[in-house]
Order: sequence, then structure tokens, then C-alpha cells
Amino acid sequence: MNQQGFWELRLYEMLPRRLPDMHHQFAREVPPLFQRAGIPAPLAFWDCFAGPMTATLVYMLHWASLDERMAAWGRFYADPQWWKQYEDAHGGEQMLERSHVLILRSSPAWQPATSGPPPQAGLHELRMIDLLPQAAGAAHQALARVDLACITAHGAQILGLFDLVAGQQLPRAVAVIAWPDIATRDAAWAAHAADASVQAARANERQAHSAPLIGHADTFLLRPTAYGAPQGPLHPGLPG
Amino acid sequence: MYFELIQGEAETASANGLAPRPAACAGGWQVTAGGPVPGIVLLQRWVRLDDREAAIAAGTHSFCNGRLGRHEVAIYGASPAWKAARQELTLPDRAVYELRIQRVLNGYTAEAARVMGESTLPLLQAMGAQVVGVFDLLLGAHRPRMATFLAWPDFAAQQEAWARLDVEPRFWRRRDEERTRLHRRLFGDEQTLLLAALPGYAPRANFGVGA
Repeated sequence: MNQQGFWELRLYEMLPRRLPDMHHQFAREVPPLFQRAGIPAPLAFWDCFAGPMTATLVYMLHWASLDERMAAWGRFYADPQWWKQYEDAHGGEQMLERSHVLILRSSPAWQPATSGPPPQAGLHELRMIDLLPQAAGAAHQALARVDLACITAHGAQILGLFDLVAGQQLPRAVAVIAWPDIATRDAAWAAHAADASVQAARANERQAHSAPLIGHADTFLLRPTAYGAPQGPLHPGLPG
Repeated sequence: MYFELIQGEAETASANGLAPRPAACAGGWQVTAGGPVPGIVLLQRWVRLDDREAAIAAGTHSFCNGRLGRHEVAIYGASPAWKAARQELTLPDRAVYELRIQRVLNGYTAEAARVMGESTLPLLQAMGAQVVGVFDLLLGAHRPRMATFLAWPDFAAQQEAWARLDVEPRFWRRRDEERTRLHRRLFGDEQTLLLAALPGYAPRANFGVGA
């Protein structure tokens, strides 16, 4: 069994003008209802202001088991107080265009750093990275040891590295990366593109697997919210 | 009960090399049209999601046979539409299976299920379809979504039925009314896959789920 549990990554595609209302909900109204239902406090909340879909609210939860998760959300949606708040907040109108509820487990290659909180005022990045089918284990290792090691040397802080369990385009890795600013981020990815060790790794992978282990990525630029900035690596077992 | 729908590319469309059907597998198909080919669709039935984890750890999960390429995994629950349209029938031999995945207007999942169960599916049943299962997405991308498995006696029946539905006045009156009332479409984009059951992986009627 999975000893580290699961991470739930929720992406809410908002209808125009409703993102502030949703922030109000999550900052003030929802936390006591989560607590009552047994839903753990989210590890982080973000706004997404560049990515495949905007405007988007993103947040992440950690669960010991998926059955525990299903039971807790069942209690939440059975709570009459939630539906009262829902009616009050929505004013008869929808807030969401659609949502994406993705289930992740820890990447076998993730070694969470235990030093230093992420930059609170900085830029965070969510990358969903295609891995070579039939070689996902090797791809996770290559991603951590080659690609993420490279950008870490250029100023990135890896907040989390995951394997997508339920979602699209599997096998996929999901990385959450903190940057001090956009200039550092752009320079790091430029350095990664030109890095000789990265290029050598891809060439070796082509020889061994007939294709690179690491494929395209969907990239979301995230802004930590005032009420839900991650306090450390996105791992419940580590100090925030 | 949870239903795990796995949909993706396969190395080959043949059944060669496919592992014996695990007990939790409610059906397995090759894609014949509407999605990537060679492609495969698997439906797993779980009482608890921890059972799914145990099957993966033990190497007895359907996708542990190593034939899947890039794919999607989504966890669904039974839709009320399934109960509304349920019939106790035997699936035809060599049925043509159809998987329809439809986006639903957020906040209107219950209404969509009601419309599907009381209106759309009965129309299709009258045209020869058998409803094998109807599901609402619980975990995965693009929520809310519904997935409907239909079985047809043959390809001609499937084509004829959807051509008739496309101009069926009762169907379109309802769509027009929804659009006027909601200012948007209750049912959004949809994907239609035509499927052939893999040898040894044919589903049972209603996926073996009791009424």
C-alpha cells in the first residue's frame, strides 16, 4: 500500500469576475466546514494567472487514503451549512466553469528539502510533465536528477514532485516549483535548455528507449494567496 | 462503489499479450473509432479505492499488463440516470459498444442525470440501444462530466439511431428549453468512442451491478 498517502490537486476554472468571491469563501467561510467534515487544511492556495486555463484557483490537500478522502468530501457535501453558504455566496449564479480534481502520489524520486521556507512573495510554477510510457520510473528519476537538479542550481526551489494517479495524459509527473521572481525563472529555464548535461541525458535516453524520457509540459504560473501560501515543502511530514 | 475508467493508447489493437482478466475488471475494449487507435478502454469496479491501490501493489490491476501507452485515468460513480434507464436484458453477442463522454454545465449534474435518464436514454433504447452503465465523474479532469456505455446490435443500428436523434423533435425541444432557461447548454462538448470488446473482456449486462 501507499505509505505516504495521496495529494489532491484541485483546479477551479472560474467564470469571469468570480475569483474574488471564491477567495472570500476559502479564506473565511469554508475552513470551519472543512474542519467539521474532516477535510484537512489545504497545504497551499494559489491564483493562476498564466496557463492553459485562467482565471483559476488552485489548491492542494493531503490524504492518508482515497477512501478517507471520499468519505470526508461526502460529509462536506451533506452539510446543510455548506449549501446555505453556497446559496448566499453564489447569489443564484455559478462561480465555476469547471473543475479538475487530480490525484497525485509522491514521485519515487522526490526527496523533499528540509531547509528553508519557500519565498512567500515569489512566483510559483506548476508543471505537468509528460513521461515516456512504459518507462515512467526511469523518467521520474531523470526528471529529478537531471532537469530539476539543473533548475535548482539556477535558483529554483522544488516544493513538490508527484506522480499523477488520476487525470489525463498519464504517465505524467507534476512538479511545484518556487522562484524568487520571473527573471530568475526565465533565466533558469533558458539555462536548462542550453545545458550540456541535460542534452547528454536526452541523447542517452533516445539510445536506450528510442525516445526521450521527458516530454512536453503544461505550465501554470501561480501566485500564492495571502491566506494560503505554502509554508514549506508540500509534504505533511515535514516542518513548514 | 467506484468505477475506474482507463482510456488510452495501446501498443497494438489485438488481444495478444493481454493478461487474464482480473476480477475487478468490468470490461475491456479496443477502440475502433472516435479516439486514438490502436487504443484501449478498461473499466474497473472497486468497492473501496484502497482495493485499487492493493491491486496495483500486487500487480493484478488491469493496466499492469504493460500494454497501455499514454492514457487517462478517471474515477466515476454510478449516475442516477443509470437507475432510471436500467433494463434487465442480455447484451447482444458481438455487440458494438459506444462510450459517450459529455461535459455537463457546472452546478447542474442532478438535472443532467434526470434528463439523461428520463428522456435521452429512453429515446435511444427505443431505437435499439442497451444501456450498460451511466456514470458521473468523481475524480479526474474536466468535471462535471458524464460517461455512458451503450451496446448496439450492430454498427448500422448505432448510426441509424444517432441520425434519428439528431433530428428528433422531442430531443431538440428539450435542448432549446434548457438553453433558454440556463442561458448556456446543459450538455457541452462530447466525445464518442466506438468499441469492440476484447476477447475474454466482454462486459455483463449492467456491468454485473445489481438493481
